[in-house]
Amino acid sequence: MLHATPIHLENVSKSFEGSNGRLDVLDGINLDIRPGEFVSIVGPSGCGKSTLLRLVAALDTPTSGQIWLNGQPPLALRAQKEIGWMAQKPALLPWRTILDNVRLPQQVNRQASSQPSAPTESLLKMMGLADFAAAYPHTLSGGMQQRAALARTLASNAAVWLMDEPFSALDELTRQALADEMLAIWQKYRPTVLWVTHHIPEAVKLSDRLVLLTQRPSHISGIVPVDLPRPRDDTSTSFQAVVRQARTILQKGAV
Amino acid sequence: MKTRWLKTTATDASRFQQQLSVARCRELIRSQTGRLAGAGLLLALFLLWETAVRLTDTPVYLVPAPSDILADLAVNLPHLLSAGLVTLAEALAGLVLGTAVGLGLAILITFWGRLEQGVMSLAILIKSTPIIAIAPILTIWLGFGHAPKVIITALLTFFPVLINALSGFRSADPAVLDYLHSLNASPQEIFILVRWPSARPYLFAALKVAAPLAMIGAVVAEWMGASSGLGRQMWLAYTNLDMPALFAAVFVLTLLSTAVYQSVVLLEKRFLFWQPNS
Ligand SMILES: Nc1ncnc2c1ncn2[C@@H]1O[C@H](COP(=O)(O)OP(=O)(O)O)[C@@H](O)[C@H]1O
Ligand SMILES: [Mg+2]
Repeated sequence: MLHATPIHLENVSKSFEGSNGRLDVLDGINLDIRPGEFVSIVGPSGCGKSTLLRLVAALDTPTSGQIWLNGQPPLALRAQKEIGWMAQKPALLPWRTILDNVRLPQQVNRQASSQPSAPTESLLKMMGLADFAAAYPHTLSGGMQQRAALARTLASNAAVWLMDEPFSALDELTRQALADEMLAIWQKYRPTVLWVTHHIPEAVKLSDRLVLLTQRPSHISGIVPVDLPRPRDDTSTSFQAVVRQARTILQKGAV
Repeated sequence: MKTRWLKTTATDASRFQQQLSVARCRELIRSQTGRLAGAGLLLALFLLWETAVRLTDTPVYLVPAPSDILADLAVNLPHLLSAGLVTLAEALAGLVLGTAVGLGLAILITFWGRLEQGVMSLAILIKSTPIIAIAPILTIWLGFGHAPKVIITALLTFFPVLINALSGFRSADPAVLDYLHSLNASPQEIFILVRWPSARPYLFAALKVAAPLAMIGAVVAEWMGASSGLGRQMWLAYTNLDMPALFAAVFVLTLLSTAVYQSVVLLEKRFLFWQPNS
């Protein structure tokens, strides 16, 4: 893992050409993310959060503007296998056991293979999946599947983690448990994390900063730093104050 | 004391065992009901057929009664089976060839999308040409041996494989494809790790269509001139107006086709274990 990877977005815009004309989604995003920082992107549904993340992962290219990861274009970092991608769907291979799924990132694009963060077996143990190593994904609950996807992201030992609402399809309790685990993992390995969510308290609980997007075509309506020590108590008044602050800015951007 | 305790548990256990086996029997009967009903229906049909033929005194050269066919089978079954094996071998060889061609073309299109239109136009052209028109030509060119049968069977079977394989390769989950792209996986890696396994259910669907087609293709080709095979037996029976022999050959053909189809189903069960409902 390339430690300390900053992310730099310079005037990034993205439009889609559709059958019924042009759809402007992102409109001039400027953002600097420090190495090892945990940044949440929060915005109304359809405003372009996933689009932004796809641009950083080089799964799509911006219409204009520049993206730099550790001073390199996203494609270069991706070629070095320094991108950890995780989305709402666990996207496990149904014909592979959990163990083989978690091994997948080490089997692909081998010429770029960095050392795994830990042997896969101990990773599974750490994630509470040891008993499911030989199980197939369809026999696991949604929460367990997403836990396996998290273990797989961890196994790729990437410097930048791009996570698109990874827990939003899960029930509240599972979601909280996994968010706590995510936090512990981040504190241990310190990747740079871009975390997309529409759940403000989750963002405040986890991140160093919240980046708030407006309605489409979206730009950044505000950046809210969270200067609270972790673990954060979501019932405390200071926590609630940050949540309220973010909500106010979001509501202004949503009209 | 101890022995008595042992004794009671032993009888209890055997009673339990008995209940269990009764339950298992019921379960078995329930699971076999569909099959039994099918067999019953078939039997009823044959009985109806037999009585109808006898009551109306239909001459045997028009419609033979099942008993006539059975009589023929009793004598000729080994003979028909060895002819059937020839047809089966031709059909399987053609199926393998057709599958290989269909798969190869689908892989080609998957990697080089711009070939799609050319390949598909050609495939549809071949598929639309009636086999019955090509078969005699191939027989004239290649003789009475196995080659024309294998080629015709391949011509008949490559198309369903091509279409299904293509859909299968494209059925890969976009979320999984995104994930592999994020690892910078090569097109070859994506094909081996995702597209090929995703296509397996589609390939089995194709084989379920293509395997019986292969038997038909081989038999039709044999009708056009062959030195052996079920098609030739049918043709001989036909020219002699030997209806019981013709029906007996059809019976063996149906038997073999069903066996081929069931083998595909078995293979499918073995390979598609991760599909929740198959
Ligand atoms: N590949 C695409 N082609 C056309 N339109 C797209 C594409 N991807 C996303 N969009 C559109 O861009 C907008 C933003 O989508 P998305 O980034 O998924 O929003 P979010 O993740 O914030 O909910 C939506 O209106 C969506 O329909
Ligand atoms: Mg989204």
